[in-house]
Order: sequence, then C-alpha cells, then structure tokens
Amino acid sequence: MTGQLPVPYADYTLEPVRALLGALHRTATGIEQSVTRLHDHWPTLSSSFSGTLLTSVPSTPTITEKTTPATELVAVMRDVWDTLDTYADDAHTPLENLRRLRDEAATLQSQRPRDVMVAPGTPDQEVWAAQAGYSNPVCLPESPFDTWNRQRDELKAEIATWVQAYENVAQQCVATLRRINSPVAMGVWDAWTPSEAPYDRPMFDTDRMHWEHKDNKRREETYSFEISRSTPGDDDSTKTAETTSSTQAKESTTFGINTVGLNTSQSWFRGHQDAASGIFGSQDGVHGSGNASYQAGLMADTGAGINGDGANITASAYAQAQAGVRADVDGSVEYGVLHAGGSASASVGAVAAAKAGVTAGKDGVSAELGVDAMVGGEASAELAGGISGVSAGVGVTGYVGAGFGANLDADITLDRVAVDLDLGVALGIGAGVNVSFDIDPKEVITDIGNAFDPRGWF
Amino acid sequence: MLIDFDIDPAGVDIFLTQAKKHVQGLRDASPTGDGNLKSLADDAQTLCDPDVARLAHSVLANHTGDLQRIVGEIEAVLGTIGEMAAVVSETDQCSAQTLETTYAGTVGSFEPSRFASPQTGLKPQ
Repeated sequence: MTGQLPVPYADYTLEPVRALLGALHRTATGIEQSVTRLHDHWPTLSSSFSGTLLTSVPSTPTITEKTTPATELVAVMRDVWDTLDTYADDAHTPLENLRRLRDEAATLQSQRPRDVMVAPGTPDQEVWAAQAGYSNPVCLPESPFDTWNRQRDELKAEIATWVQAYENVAQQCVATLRRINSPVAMGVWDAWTPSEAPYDRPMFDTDRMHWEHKDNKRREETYSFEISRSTPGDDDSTKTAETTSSTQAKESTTFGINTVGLNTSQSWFRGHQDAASGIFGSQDGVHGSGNASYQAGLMADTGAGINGDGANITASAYAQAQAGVRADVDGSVEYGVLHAGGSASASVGAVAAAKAGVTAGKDGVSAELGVDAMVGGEASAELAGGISGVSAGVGVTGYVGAGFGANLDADITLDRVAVDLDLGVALGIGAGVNVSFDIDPKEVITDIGNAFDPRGWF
Repeated sequence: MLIDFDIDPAGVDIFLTQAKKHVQGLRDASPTGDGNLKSLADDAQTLCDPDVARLAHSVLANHTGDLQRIVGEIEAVLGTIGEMAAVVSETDQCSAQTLETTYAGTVGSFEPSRFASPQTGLKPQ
C-alpha cells in the first residue's frame, strides 16, 4: 500500500455551476421583467378597444392567464438557482481542501523513504539514515518509514473528513433537486411516516471509538420511482408506439397512470457518548477512583411508497423511532494494601412505531393504521449490594402532528450522570419517545466502598 | 341600439406594437434569444458532479419548450386582438355607411362624427 493516496472529487470545479447560475439568473430576470412590462402595458388596451360586444368575445383571454406559466417557470428556475447556489457555496471549502490535499499527497509520495539493502546486523541508525537518503549516519528518532506512514495516515484521515463534507453537500443538493423535479411525488413523502419496524437494530454501536461531546449525526436519503403515463386520444403517429404501450398498461391499471413503484426511505441517527473520571480521598486513608460513562442513541427510520400490482395501487408509509441510554459506573476503593472494586450499569430503551397504508383499486378502497410502542430497561450491579443513586424512567406517547425533532440534554461529571432524551417523530401519524436517566456516580462508588469497607472486616 | 362598440385602430396598433416588443423581450430572455431553454439544460450536464448534473439537467430539460410555448400563446392573443380590431373597424365603418344612407334618406343630413377617430381622422367612406 505505497501508491499515492487517492483524493476523490479533487478535480471537481465549480466554474460550470457558476456559469449555469449566471445563465439561470439572467433568463429568470429577463422573463420576469418582460412579464411585468406586459402586465403594465395591458390595461392601455381598454382605452382604444372597448364596448360590450367586444368584451363578450369569448376568445379574448386575459394576459394573466397567459403569463402564469411564465411565472411558474421563473419559480422553478429560482428554485434550481437557490439549490445550486447553496451547493456552490457549501462545496467550495471541501473541494478547495481536497485540491490542497491532492497536492500534499503527491508531495508526500515523492518523499517516501527509500527501500535499501543492508547487511545483517547493520545498526538501525545507519539503516534509517540510508532510508531517509542521507549518505552519512545521522541521528533519527525513529524509522523514516514510521514517520512517513504516520504522516500518510494523518493525510488519509483528513482526506476522509473533507470527502464526507463534500458528499454531505452534494447529497443535500441532489435531494432538493429531486423534490423540484417531482414535487407531487415528494410531497407524498413529506406527508408520510414509518413502516416496517426493524426492532432488531442495535440500540448502541459498542464498537465505536470513544469520543467525548461529539454529536454523530448521519442521514441517508434514497428515492426511486418509475412512472409511465398514457396519453388517450393522441393521434400523433410519432407517438404510436408509446401510446400502444401505455394503452396496454392502462388496461391493467386503475387510473391510467401506470405506477410501477415509487418508494423512499430515510434514516436518522444521532449518538452521544461521554465519560468522566476522578479520584477521591487521601493516600493516608480510604481513597479510590471512579469512572462514569454514558451512551445515548436516537434512531429514526421513515419510509413511504406507492406500488401498483396491475389492479390496485397501494400507498403505505411508516415511521419508527428508537431511543436508548446506557450508563456505566465503576469505582475502586483502597485502604492500605486492601483493594475493592465494583461496577454498576443500567440501560433503558424505547421503541415507537407507526404505520399506515391505503389500497385503492377495482375492489374499492381499504386502509390500515397502526401504532406500536414498547419500552424496556434493566439495571445491574456487580460486587456491590444496595447500589443506590440510579434512577431511570421512560415513557412513550403518541400524538398527531407534523415535524421531526429530537432533543438530548446530557450532563456528566463524577457528581452526576444525567441524560434526558426527547424524540418525536410525527409525520402524519406520530409517536414520541422520552427517556430520562440519572445516576450519581459518587453514591454508587460510596456504596461499593461501604460494601467492601476494610474497616468493617475487623 | 345597433352599434354599442367603438374602436381606435391607431390606438390598437400602438398597443400591439408595444406588446409585441415586450413579447420579443420575453423571447430574448432565453440564453439563445429564440425562446428555447435547451442550452440551460445542456449547461447543467457540464457540472462536475454527475448526480447533481443529472438531476439539474432533468429539471431544466422538462422546461426547455415552456418559454417558446408561452410566447406563442401570447402572440396568438395579440394576433386575435389585431384581427378583432380589423373586423370591428370594418364593421363599424360599414354600419356607419348604412346609417349615413338611412339618415340621409330620412332626415336629409348626417354628421357621422361618432365614427371619426381623433388619432387618425378616419372618416367613414
């Protein structure tokens, strides 16, 4: 693995975006100005063209009717302009850094230490000097390959950071353009919520690296759909093939629009974890140390779809929210040569899900609606009886509303580990999850100390 | 009442001339000046990010013919107004001529000032 580090998107430039933005702005502005002038000019017609007979002529349309499509066209162009302008602004820094990192990767590659052949028993310093390109022995603190590999890893990590930053920007842009492109279809999504509930999803990712006060948010959005449309009565010979095909499709569908399938799903995840540690007491008496940590996760999945099976069209939507908290406290108490330790942990989780579906077809219309919720929690302690200072609560509420929100308030010190999660998912049908958690590490450690107080052994 | 409408042919001409100028402005607003917005969709395909390019192109490609169609419909309205003006003016003049003949035969005098256009001085024949 000694080739130059790949730097994705480093060759992307925003010049074509800027050029398109300019063209869009000029075009939209020109259309707007011309429409305004036409509107301003139109009333002058009445001063030279009037009379009840003329005003009764049915083929005289108003200019507003004729310019409304122009106004709508400008609105679409403005939406595209806003989306691409945001993309250009937000992508600028990530792409600039990726170009810099591409240059740095090339420079680092050119500075790769040499592979050298040495006689067995050659001192490291001489080998390292040769690998570094020195003709005479020099004092190097480590192998040039170690240094180079570390620099390479650092560069790789920074590249990954900016790649992710760019992909987030591009993903947001693509999602917005999709909505502009299919406002009706996307409107269905916006109004709908969760479905098949993946209850087997892990509440916590225990393999993750430890981090403090970091908000890990991940959002995925995927859409796929296919719609074919029939055009009844179209005599245009150039569209014969299409019309025939559509007619066949129409025979097996209900509404003349053959909805093959239109599905989307979104997942949202936020994780928090933090830790605190400290010591107490004095070396002459009872003393010890304690550690406390918590992990809190919020997960939400939403999805919706429209699918046709020939005779029926089924629309369904689902939403699910999971919230969970896990807290661990461990401590040790020492007195002289005696040592005792213990730990306590607790976890609370809640799941709320809602789903809705409507089927329409030859046999009529049917609908189903469901809301499920389940909660659970457990607490355990080892090597300590009467652990106190741990309390947990969880509640699930259902509500109807709109919007999606999550709040996490967390506080962690050796005096207190408190987590309060409030997750609401309400997309048409909603369910809310609230989880609270409160642990007093000092009290836990005190209990450990009391249970194993060496003074009580005599 | 036989005639309850009136027209100023010259005023209509001025209106149409100005309106056509604004419609031409609408057409000129397109990048190629012909009302076609295809070049915008084509420009979208030059964006470096393939996903962004594909969707931007898709959005704009759905509207490439919109401006031309709008211009065409407004021009059709203006054409209708022009034709109506011509028909009304002709009808107006014919009616005036009939009235003049009728009045001349019964009253012996007639002043068709009603059909005179102050802008053009057009008189019934």
